[in-house]
Amino acid sequence: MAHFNTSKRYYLNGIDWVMAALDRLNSQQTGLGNHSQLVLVLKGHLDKIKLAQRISCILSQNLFFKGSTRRAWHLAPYWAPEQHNFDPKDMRFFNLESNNKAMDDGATEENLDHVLQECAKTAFKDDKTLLGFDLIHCNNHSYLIMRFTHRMFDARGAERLLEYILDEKKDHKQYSLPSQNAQLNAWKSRFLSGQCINQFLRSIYSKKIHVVQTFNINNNNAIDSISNKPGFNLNSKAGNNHYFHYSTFSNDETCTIDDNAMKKAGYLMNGIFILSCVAKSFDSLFKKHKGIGNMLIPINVDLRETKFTTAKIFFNNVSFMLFNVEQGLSITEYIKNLKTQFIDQVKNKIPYHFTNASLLMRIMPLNILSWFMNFRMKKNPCSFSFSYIAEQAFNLKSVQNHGVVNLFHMPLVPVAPGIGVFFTRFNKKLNMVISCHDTTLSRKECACLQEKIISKMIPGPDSGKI
Amino acid sequence: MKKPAIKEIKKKLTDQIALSVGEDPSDIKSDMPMHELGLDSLGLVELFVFIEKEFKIQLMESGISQEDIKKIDSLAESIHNAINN
Repeated sequence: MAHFNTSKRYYLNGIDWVMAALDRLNSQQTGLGNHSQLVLVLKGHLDKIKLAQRISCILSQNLFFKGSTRRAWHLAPYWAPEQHNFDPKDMRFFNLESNNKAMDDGATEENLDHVLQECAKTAFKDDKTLLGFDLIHCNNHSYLIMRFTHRMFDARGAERLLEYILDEKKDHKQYSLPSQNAQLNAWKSRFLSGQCINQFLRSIYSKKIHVVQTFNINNNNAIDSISNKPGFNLNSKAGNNHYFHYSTFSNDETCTIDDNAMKKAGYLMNGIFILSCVAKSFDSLFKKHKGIGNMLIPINVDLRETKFTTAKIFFNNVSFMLFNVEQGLSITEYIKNLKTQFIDQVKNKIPYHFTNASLLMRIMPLNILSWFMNFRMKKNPCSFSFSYIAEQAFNLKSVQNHGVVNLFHMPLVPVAPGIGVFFTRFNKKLNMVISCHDTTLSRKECACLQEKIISKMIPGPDSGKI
Repeated sequence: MKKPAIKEIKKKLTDQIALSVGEDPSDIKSDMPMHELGLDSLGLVELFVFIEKEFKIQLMESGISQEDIKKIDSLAESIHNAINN
């Protein structure tokens, strides 16, 4: 039985609409939308049949699984959920356990990495599907993957949804999606926010003439050449050359990073410290690519409370900040510069103005909005995307009595800027994922960047391993 | 204008933090570190903006230390001192 109230409409907010446009743009350019995947690591082997049945049961009871956007008579877009049962057979299973004990552990790790990367690059069945699931058994651990589209879920919302699906102790018959209203009021406030954002963007872009344009991004020839590469396994129309480098820091390493952040950036300024280390690591890379000008870094900020209810699983409750920093500064200078910009943007309510002004964008059809975003991104390309999620939204200790070890994200990064560095914390451990297109950066350079970031955050070359 | 007592400052800080972390104000302990309450960097800066607006003080220029901002108790005391100086 579905629990969506059909007498209400679930209107999309402005950021949902922007995400939908980005999804469309990504689909056109890479064949994959604006997707991400969660990887939940557990001890032992989850029972695949039981798990698939559980997922199927929850998704059949609720309308999480499929839907599409429509426009009301007053043109505000809304989400139209559809009843669709999840077929347990749609959950793919990969058994990477080796019966041959002599087999090199490294080879198993390599297989695991390959499968994780391929899963992240799997397209959904159709435009209406929002979720996909895979299960891997490897090294006496289970890796449960939930792929999701950012059209309806942001990163923390997806974490909370996964908890909701897997939590066997709670009664799930009560879930109902709260309706968002159309927000077709307060036009003056929206236009004033738009004015603030325009002024803000002008000030950001006027600091230096050039932002860093080192990489070969948004190049149709490049995409064509990739789709023609022999052996390139595509499950999508245009081609897809995303890849990931991920690291998990131990408790001790995370404590060291926190201590360094406290000493160098101040209390609760871990995100600024980490971003400074990342910016510093990009320095030498840009130098090598002969990049000139400042770095332009968009970051996502979660606008929800730290502890939010299941009511806020759906829709994008995020906003943006944009930092413009010079290249070649020391880490201390980066911290000072970024911290000042961070405080100024919070004081000037930039994240609020982005969400408020974005409501105006809903008037544009998705094809026009995605064209417009592509135009802006080509004109003012960013250096790299960044996000830091300090608070996890998944809090289960075990699933099917198997202890939860870790949870990390593998988001696909849009063609522009083509590279993103994303941090999440889970059970007091820090996870880092570099998501990249190989038209942007070679895998060797990306591995080098990963090492550099780690070495900036903690002393010692061997830190950070999956 | 009547200057607020420490108790009143603590209440206002507690309410603001409760709003930011999504907890009931009665569940917010004033002797717990802010990060254990679930506050992040965005929440902290928003709290600073709230303090400057609510208590009409320039927090950064009031000589407040890193230690002072870790807990509601110490932060309330610092704000109280800044108002009275």
